[in-house]
Amino acid sequence: MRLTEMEGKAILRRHGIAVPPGVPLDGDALPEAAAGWGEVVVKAQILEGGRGKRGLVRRVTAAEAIAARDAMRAIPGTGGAGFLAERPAAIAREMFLALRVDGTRQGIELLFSEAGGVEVEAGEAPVRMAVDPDASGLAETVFGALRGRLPSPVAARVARLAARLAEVMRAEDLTLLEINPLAEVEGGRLLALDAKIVRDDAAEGRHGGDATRASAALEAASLSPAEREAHARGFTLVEMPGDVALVSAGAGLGMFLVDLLADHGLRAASFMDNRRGGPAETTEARLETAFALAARPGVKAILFYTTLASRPVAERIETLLGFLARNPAPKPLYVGFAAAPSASRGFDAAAASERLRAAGVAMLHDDPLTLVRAIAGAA
Amino acid sequence: MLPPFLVAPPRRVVVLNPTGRYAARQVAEMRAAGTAIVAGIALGRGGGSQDGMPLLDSLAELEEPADAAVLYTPPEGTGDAVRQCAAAGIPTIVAAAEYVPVHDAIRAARAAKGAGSWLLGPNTLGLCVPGADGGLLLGSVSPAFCTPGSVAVLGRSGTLTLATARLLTRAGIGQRAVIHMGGDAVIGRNPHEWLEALGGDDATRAVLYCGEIGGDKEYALAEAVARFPKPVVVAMTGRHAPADRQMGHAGALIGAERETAAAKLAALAEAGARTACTPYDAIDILKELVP
Repeated sequence: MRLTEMEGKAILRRHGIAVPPGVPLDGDALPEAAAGWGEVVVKAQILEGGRGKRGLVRRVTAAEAIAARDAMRAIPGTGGAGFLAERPAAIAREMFLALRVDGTRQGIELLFSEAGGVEVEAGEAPVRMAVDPDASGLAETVFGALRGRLPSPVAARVARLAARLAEVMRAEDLTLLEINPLAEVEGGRLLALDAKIVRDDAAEGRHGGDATRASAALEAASLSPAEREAHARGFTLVEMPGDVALVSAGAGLGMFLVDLLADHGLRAASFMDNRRGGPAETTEARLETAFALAARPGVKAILFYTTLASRPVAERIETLLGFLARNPAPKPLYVGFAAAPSASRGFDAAAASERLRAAGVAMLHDDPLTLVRAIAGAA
Repeated sequence: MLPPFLVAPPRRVVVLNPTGRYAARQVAEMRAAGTAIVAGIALGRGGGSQDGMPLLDSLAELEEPADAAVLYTPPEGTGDAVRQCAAAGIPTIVAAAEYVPVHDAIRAARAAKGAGSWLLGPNTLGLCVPGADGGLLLGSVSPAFCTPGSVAVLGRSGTLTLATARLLTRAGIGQRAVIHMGGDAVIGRNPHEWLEALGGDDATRAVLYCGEIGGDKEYALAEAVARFPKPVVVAMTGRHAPADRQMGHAGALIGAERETAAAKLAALAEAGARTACTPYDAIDILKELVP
């Protein structure tokens, strides 16, 4: 889950990382804590980047803060977003510092550039190095990589900060922690002016939801109603503009079917996969979703395909037949099972095939390509 | 160095957390396939048995060390379980659980590698080494989908690995091994490590790699392909996946241009791999290479 800047900074603050003083701007007046700041930076708490270019970060006088926020609310894409008012900082230097999980190197990678803010991509290639929070002397190692690009006192501060952030990455189960800009302010202090933070969904249960409520709400708001309902019912749905409602299980198989359809001039209207914490059996829920999508005028067919290594295929067929008895398919339904013998034990394929045909299934075949070609031919 | 299960099939396999519904079904399949399971490790169930398989409370209670472990430990405990197996010197570890926190996976992968173990997963269906005598099954890659041969299959997605093995078998192309490396961003061994290991395997004549969008593992793989002495065929899924949408796997999200299927296929082709859009196309290529 990507966190809003405000919730991300709350995490940093909890770990003793300096961020600008800030207050949520959700009432009719600037909170008292910010009244004496003279000026404030008002920032829309959306998850997309490029806020500055869209007018969603504005430096205004304290008196103008509410008006600035209201003006931002009129900009498309800010629905449901909160707003943050921060005390401006006197910046001496802007830098870029990010840590990310590097899957291939099985660790955390640090990226640093002495050119921060919007200039980061125009600057010299960033410093890239592996950082291990368990390594002794990590700050010294990072310092060694930065000293040629920064004055030594600044390099030392950034290196110490990087070592602490590596620990924050692990403690908070983050996959990305990007600070841009990282500002050097008066007195040489470092301040995280902005924070792009992504938390590992698989670790969500360790952290509770209270501290990331706004981020979760924005993520949910970015989903279509059908996708939200699918989440609530325990599976993942990616809805796409398409002409074949696809019901599958397993991400790789699902993507393979999406590709096959596209190779035959068709477009999948859906992609489905299991969801963490979801029930073991979601076939009926997936079928309901697919049938709802298939009822739309542009959708020409439904493709149901699954691989069963050990789960009994008979169970799946009975589920499908039971569902079809209550819900006639709104468009031609193509069905495929790739079932291992252990999954087919005691299963009468010929009888099942006959029953499925009687229930209105347009085609039953165990080869995805044959099914897709049939759909393309009919379309 | 060859993965240990390709040198000799494990003779003392243990299953951690074998008693859940899904795990029990897989244990039954493995035993039916002839996998030499000596015990299940289920804390609190020691002294009991599961369909004749003795249950122990701890790995430490084994009379002799295990030479392979299959873990059905829930995701929160998987990292620790892998590290335990690595500390016990178990050379092949299969960690089935999906949704293992990534920092747990990092520690587990490092511990396994540090101990010289070959870790599959997290988020894996395991492996099958087809053999005339029944072969080897560690996990859920159904031997019925496989047939003995000389093509080593390396997959990132479990369901697609199964589907591909099945299509190969139907096309008459046998497999040296069908290995589901794991679908997560951090897995025990990366594709390039598997490829490098297979270079020394006389029984492997060609490798089929089934990759997907997201991450950058294929760039390290491309470097390994350039040095690999045998043909490598690559198929990539997610060519038509929408950008910036997570397609199920923790690893399957197009975050940048280089994470797209097209960019990865181009890099691998440049390195000398034969590239294919789908497993069907890959099979056509393999028919030429391994007639």
